[in-house]
Amino acid sequence: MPLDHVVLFLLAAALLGLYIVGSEIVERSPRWGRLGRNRFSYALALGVYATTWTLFGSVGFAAEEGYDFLAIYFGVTLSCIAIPFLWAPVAELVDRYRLGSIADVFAFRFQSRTVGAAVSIFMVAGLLPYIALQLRAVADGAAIIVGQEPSERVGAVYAVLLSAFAVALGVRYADGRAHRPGLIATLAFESIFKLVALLVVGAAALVMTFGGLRGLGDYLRERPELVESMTRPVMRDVGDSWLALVFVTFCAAFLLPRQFFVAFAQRPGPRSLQTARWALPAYLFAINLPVPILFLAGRELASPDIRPDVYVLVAVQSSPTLQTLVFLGAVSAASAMILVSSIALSGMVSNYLVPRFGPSPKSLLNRWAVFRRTTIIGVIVAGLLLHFALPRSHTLVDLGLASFVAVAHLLPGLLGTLFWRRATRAGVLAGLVVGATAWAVLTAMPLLGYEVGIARLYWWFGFDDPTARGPVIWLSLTAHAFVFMAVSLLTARSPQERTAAEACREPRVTRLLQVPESAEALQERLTSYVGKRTAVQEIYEAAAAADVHWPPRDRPELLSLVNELQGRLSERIGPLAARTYIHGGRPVRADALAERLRAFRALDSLQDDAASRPTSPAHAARRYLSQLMSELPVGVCTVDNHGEVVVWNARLARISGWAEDDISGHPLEDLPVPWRALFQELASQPSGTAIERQYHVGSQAIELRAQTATISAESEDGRVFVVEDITAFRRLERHVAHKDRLSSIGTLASGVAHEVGNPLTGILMVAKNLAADPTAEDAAERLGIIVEEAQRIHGIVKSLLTFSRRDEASVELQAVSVVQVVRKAAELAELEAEGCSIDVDLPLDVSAMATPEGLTQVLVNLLNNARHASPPHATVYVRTAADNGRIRIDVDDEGPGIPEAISERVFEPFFTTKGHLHGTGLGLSVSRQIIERFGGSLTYQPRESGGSRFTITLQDHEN
Amino acid sequence: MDPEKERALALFVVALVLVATPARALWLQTWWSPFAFWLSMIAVVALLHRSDHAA
Repeated sequence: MPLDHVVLFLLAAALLGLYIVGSEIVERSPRWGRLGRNRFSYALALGVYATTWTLFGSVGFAAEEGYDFLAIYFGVTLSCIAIPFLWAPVAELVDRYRLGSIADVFAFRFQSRTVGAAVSIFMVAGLLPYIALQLRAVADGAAIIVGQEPSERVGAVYAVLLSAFAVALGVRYADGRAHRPGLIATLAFESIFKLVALLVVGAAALVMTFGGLRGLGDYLRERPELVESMTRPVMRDVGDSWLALVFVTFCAAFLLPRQFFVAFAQRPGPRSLQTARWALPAYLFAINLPVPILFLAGRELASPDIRPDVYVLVAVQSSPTLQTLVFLGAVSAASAMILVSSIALSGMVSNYLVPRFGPSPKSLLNRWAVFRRTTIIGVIVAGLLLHFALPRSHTLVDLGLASFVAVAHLLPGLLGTLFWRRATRAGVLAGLVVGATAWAVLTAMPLLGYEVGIARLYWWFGFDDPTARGPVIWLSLTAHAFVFMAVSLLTARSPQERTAAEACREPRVTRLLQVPESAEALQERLTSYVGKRTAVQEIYEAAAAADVHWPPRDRPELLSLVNELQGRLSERIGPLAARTYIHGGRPVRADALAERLRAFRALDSLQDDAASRPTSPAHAARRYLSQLMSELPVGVCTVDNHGEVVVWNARLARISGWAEDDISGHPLEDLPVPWRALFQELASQPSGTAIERQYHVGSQAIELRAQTATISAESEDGRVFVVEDITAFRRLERHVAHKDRLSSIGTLASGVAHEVGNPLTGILMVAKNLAADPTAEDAAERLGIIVEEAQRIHGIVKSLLTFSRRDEASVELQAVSVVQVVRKAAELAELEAEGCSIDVDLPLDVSAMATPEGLTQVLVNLLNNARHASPPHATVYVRTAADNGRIRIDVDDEGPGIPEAISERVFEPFFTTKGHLHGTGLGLSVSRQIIERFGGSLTYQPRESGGSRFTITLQDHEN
Repeated sequence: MDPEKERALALFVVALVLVATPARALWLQTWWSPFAFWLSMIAVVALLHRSDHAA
């Protein structure tokens, strides 16, 4: 290698070494680190757009096609004007889901690694000419400076230098962390260096060749045809270069992998893009100012055999120092371009191509640094091979444009991602295949020397000049867009695609993350995919980066950790694999109503913020229903036809202690205890079923009443569960029952005291008198009183025993002839002896299920009551009837009846209207208990003609 | 669409017409006029950015 080459090489290596050292300082030092977080540094870093194409190629382009070279930058300026409505949604999407590359965006939107792989293959193939361009420009520049013919050896040497630089910094910055200040600062400094180099060289050329601006003005005034030749290409027809160049550079400004990486993945803050709107075009304006001067100077000084691509060196050929300066500017630009492109491409290759043809994502995550280094070197080596393979007749612009055209084919898919929900995976794949094929046939093959005879095709479409750049671009993009839309319209979206489409349309309001139930579950799940060591390491690093405690102390901390972890994994292994690793591969269904409702609610809250925004009737109705659901005093849970929870209202969240965000979207079987058991039991029951269950949640017992109904909608069948927490109600009910029992015992005790107390007092008095005078004449009579009163007490005690045995085992029922029992009871009651008559109408000799003694006792009691209530010589009626398998026995009297106010109390123990001399108040209550033990009933109702009617209903023996 | 996006879209349409239609003849009069036009586009965007930011 000649000495001059060695000097140049060492200078270039020193410059790149300086960049490496500078980036380390910025990365390690908090003070210098601010440089990398500055929004102006960010805008300058976007100047990585300006490569050796700008330093060498633009001058060559201007020499051949005049101001057409400005199209390369006017497209970027238009793109920057579109930042608020085109770049900003992409930035939001990238931030929200931590997408690292344009392939990630496509894979995320269309929920397909195949789409990610297709984009990756297309981009690697499309970018190789651009990398070859950098190597060629540097090698040619070095050859011109040392006065030799360009050689492949020189190209290979610089390829090694640039590869080493890219690997050294690339691995440093391809570690899955966003916003690296060292990288941004390096790119910003590199942008300043090449700008200064070109401005200095341009100023020198202006002075040395034209004697200053005035001299340049005079030079051009003397050559009006020169100015005309510079402006004429811009005014050619639509099929020519200008429009096509503006369009492809409009796309390249943010879709080129390196531009995407810096613009979105390394964006330091939300305001950065706004600054870049004017700062990036301003930078490009400044760096292009010298281009016409250098072109004119080179044209003036160069011999006819010199290629216009090196005019910039010819323009200052008298000054090796200036030549070296601009050469270093080119090395700087090439190294930055190769560095960022290789980082971006290696991410795509690692995420989408390597797992397909080699290691699994698990191995990739474990040894990502090795894979990244390998892919970075692989990309650069491929670019070098292409540099060797390409004919030298191609200009730098030819090579660069080939890459730009490839990148422009990403625009249909990106617009579909942002603005067209109907776009499908099949559609975007078909479009990419058509676009890539068209690019390969119409752009790449001619580049490699294989001309394809399709001039007639251009002619059919009305393009007169088949060699112009326009036809290739317009035809291939039109075919791509047409196929993309047609196939999308003909195919259906998967549920996952629908969810992702919603997320891309409204990244602020749709959250695909579902938090694992616990930190342990998160670690366990990640371990099952990547092994414990890697899982623990990733989780600890994510916890440190998110500044949360491990294990997380609450759900917000867990959510922060999951977000950070998902972002880190997403940048290393792609968004789809990352989500699978964290959420266990359970597909997030995107037709899930829960997701849609959540999006609507979030949208509502956003619209609430924008108070000036008009509210549509649909929005108002939605809000009304949402408010209604949230304020219902009962818990409501609905599940869709997939068994996944759609609604989990505020009341249910309070009852269960689980927020809606934690539950909605989950299938019933994933619900926490005891809700899973409750709803699964109800789900298996017919509509309208209600159940009551008691559960223990922690240390508390809760009683729930739940009811279910079927939802039948056109497309959204499902179930609704209504849940009431009846714990407090049941507690109150038990309290009242307890008080009631206490009250009954009080009444009973009072009655017993009264009923037993009266005869006992009588016995006591008579016994005292007798004790005082045992020989009294009426001693026998007094003893009779004592016996009578004692028998009365005995009777009361017997009745109480009967009353108290109401809950004992059921009696042995038998068929009892009602006629016989009534007749016997009438005899026992001795109605006639009391001056009453009895009218017995027993048309049927039916048998009821009872015991003869019990039924007789009840009837005697009723007949005695009737006798007491009736006036003298009244008639007591006894009637029987059979009715629907039941036997009715009515006992009617002609008394005054029971006042309505006390008719409900006649069956209470010790309640009597006869006075305590004539009754204990236990007769009716004991009678009702006896009949109820027979499975029948004893009721009271007033007779229409006056008097009372007590009705016994018993089961017919025949039934 | 918020006002910032509306203004950006309006400016984009105007710039597109001037750059991509025959109206570009307006800024192709002299050798320096394309740069003047370019600079004026940048200035308008910068002013718009400033007013958006101030708002």
